[in-house]
Amino acid sequence: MSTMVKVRRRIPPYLFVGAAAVYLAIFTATPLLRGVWLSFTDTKLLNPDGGTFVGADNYRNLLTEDRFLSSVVTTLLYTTLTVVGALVLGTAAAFAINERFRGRAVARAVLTMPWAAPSIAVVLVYTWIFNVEDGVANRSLAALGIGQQGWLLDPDRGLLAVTLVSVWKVFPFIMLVVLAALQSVPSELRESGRIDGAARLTIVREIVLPHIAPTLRVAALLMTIWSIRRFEIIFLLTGGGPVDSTNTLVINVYREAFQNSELGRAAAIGMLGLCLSLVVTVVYFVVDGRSARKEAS
Amino acid sequence: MKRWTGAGVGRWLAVVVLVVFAGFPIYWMLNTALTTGDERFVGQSLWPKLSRLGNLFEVFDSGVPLLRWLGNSAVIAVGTTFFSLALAVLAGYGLSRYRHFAGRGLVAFALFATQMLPEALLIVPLYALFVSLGLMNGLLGLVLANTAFAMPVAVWIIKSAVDGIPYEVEEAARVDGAPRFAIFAQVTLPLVTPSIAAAAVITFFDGWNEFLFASTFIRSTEKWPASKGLSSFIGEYITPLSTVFSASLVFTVPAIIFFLLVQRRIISGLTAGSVKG
Amino acid sequence: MPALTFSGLSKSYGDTRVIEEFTAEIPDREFLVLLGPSGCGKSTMLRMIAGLVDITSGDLLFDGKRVNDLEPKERNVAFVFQSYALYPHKTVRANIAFPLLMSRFRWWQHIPVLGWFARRRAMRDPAISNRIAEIAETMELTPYLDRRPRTLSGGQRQRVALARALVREPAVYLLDEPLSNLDAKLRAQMRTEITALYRRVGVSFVYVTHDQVEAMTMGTRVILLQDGVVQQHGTPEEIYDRPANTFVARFIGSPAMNLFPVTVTGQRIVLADGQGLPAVPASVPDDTRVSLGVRAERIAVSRDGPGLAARVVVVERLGGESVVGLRLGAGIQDDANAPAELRDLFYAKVPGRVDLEVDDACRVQVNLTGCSWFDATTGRRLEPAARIEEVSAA
Repeated sequence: MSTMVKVRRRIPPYLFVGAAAVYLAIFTATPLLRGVWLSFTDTKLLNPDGGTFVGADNYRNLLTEDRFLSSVVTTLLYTTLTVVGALVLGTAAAFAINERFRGRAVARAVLTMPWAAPSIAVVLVYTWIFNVEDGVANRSLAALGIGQQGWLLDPDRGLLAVTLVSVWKVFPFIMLVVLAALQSVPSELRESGRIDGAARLTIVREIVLPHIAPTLRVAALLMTIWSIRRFEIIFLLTGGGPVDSTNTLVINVYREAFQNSELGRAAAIGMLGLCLSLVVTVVYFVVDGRSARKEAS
Repeated sequence: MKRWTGAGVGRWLAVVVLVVFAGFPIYWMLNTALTTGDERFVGQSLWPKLSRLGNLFEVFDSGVPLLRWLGNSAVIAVGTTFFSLALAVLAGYGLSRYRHFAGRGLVAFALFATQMLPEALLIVPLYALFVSLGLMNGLLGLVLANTAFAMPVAVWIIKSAVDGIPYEVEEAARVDGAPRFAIFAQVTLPLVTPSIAAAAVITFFDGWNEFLFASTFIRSTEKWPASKGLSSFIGEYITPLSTVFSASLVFTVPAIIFFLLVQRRIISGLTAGSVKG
Repeated sequence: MPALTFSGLSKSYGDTRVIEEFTAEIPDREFLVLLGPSGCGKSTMLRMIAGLVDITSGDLLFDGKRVNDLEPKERNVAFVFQSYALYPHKTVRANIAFPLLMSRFRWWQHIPVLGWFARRRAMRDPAISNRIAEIAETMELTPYLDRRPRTLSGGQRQRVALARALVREPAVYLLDEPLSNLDAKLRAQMRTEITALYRRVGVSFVYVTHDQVEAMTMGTRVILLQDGVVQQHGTPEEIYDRPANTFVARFIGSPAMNLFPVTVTGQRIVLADGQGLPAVPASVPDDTRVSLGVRAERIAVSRDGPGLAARVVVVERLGGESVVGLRLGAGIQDDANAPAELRDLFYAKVPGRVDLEVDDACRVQVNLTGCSWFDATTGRRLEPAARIEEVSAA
């Protein structure tokens, strides 16, 4: 092939992808790189261009501070609880509405609503539900003879409440994903299992679960990295409190930047949070690759 | 008549519990919107006063600048949708149809990586960037920032849709003499319109719901979108809750309706697209 | 109207070679069939001719002009796809009109609204609308012009695909297994229609198929491929009568050519079970193992009389003729330990009906006229083949 033709044929992909790539470079990659730089400086919010390079000081300080380390623990705890909760609830919901029954469409629509509802509205209604005096949560508990709980005020309840709201908000995503996967299980597989006389649970364990496992893994990955970066629900419900009990890394970034004016430290915290997501992703791809190889062999 | 089996009853129970769990807060929004302050004080009834349904619309005369907020949200959402789709339709198509070009892996990774970027981390550098571009305190700045996060999702949805269109249809168009871009615009795009609609919904509500950028980049209250406006009710005890939740409902219902319409395609785009690259 | 020249044409994807160097000269107005099992590279070959796939090395010439670097539209070819590849969102009319609209495409038609108006206008242009009406008439599609492909039957979709190819009056028609999605009856009908179309338009056809019946009935020339290597190139008769190797021999004909592993000793051909045929081809040296290829219609079966002892394993009665599957030797050999050449069936095609049943012992006479000889190890045809006139086995 002549060189001219070769060159001409190489152009189209860049025309299609180029604009989006440039956009990402300007509005994501450059700010990210700037964030990396900031994390090595002592920049303050009031003088965002006046920081000086301090090497790895921010990181060194953070990694020795109890407050930061407990923030990491909070993030891990929040993420694990949310992901596990959403996976369990979402999968259960998917199995519950997988088969036809009267009212299935309505049930499915209602079960999807939390995912579609804007976070702000969700937070508003949950603050009202969790209101100490008049909220329906405590009123119901009172009816059962249980005393008032400071859902969003008690350091022992804060993470629980935030996790509950988060699980409520995201479990429909898992449900829809699993439902789509369940519906792609070839019916011959189930039928042949039934003919072979397998019990219901055996069919689920031996046939259905392996079939939806790859989808579940993808959903779990997305759910994990979304949980690590979740901001609005936590910030608006508790703002990181009570007493730092919901102070995840992302909340920490915001507080450090806009309440303590420490842009450099904030960036360093953000980078560490990003590393956490990267580690999760790499682990996922290693595990996924290994199981894919196992299936192939 | 089917016999009630143990498994049948179990599933029925599970469905009821889950539906109550999922639906209650939304229901409670409606219920509260239909109450008066006195009713809430003595204990809110579980059953809504449906006769007051018309009162929901009083929120527009209640002194809360809801229409202005919703208008701002709509501008941001439409802008985000426009920019995101313009970029994503091209990029999604390109990533699907061209498998080997220098930089493809990098672009694909960058698109996936935005899923793990905390907005809070980017907000400071973006703040600096917007100051130098003169985009502070304007809706255009929000549109641009939201697009950075909404567009990658749209790319994945559209890419996985294009993956599902047989390549032979494009080959046929090539043999029929269609130029490269005409194949894209006249043959392939019309075939993925449902997925483009799904991507439009998801990007629209990304812009509609977004809170963090709005609360950081916007100073003047008349430019607040509804998300920021509604958040100002948190911890504030002057506005009646019925007004707050009427406003919330007006803000929430469109999102729920549109998501229900297109959720299937969003799901397949997010899961298939984001990992298979 | 081009003659096709393949000169050292090959195709690789990365390190995988899918078409080995291929050289051939196809005169103008031939109906060339690219035949082979699935995955043999025949579709890739067709796509190279169309310009949909880049040529890795070698040259492709249309009428002596190198077309390697030309886009499909510049080669003036039409392509009919296995899946038909109709535009699902366009009506039948718009599907057929598409190539015509594209031939009038100007750059400014990329501008969204302008382009749409330009295409609408062009659809009303009598030159185009008459042409569509005419083509629709010949393909019997007139009643369906405003329907979408989804609502049509397989045969009708096939006709739309052909109409879309026909409308531009291309110099070469390229067809990629166009009949494989149709049921048997429709397939036979479309076969005749495509042959009629070929005679009417009088240009070159290149037709890809894995079905040897299509190749034999439609083609004027056949290229048989396996694993990207051309096995044989010739007229259907040549390929049927003088297969170049055992692969071709087995691939062509239904039932396939019988291949007997034999040893040539003295004046006898000794079969695997020790029975013999009294004739030796001059060119086959003594004491060599060769494969003897005999077409099924050259084998006669009778209940008794002269001939080799054999046993009936299968009887397929097709009405006008019968195919009998046989195993050499008198015993019933379902023994899994028996050597492969004894377990292999061979087939006889007999006109009319046979009164044999499964497990019947019978006698077989092999007519060696036009038989083929193949090297036992390479499978290659031994030339010149035996010149044995009118010798029947005893």
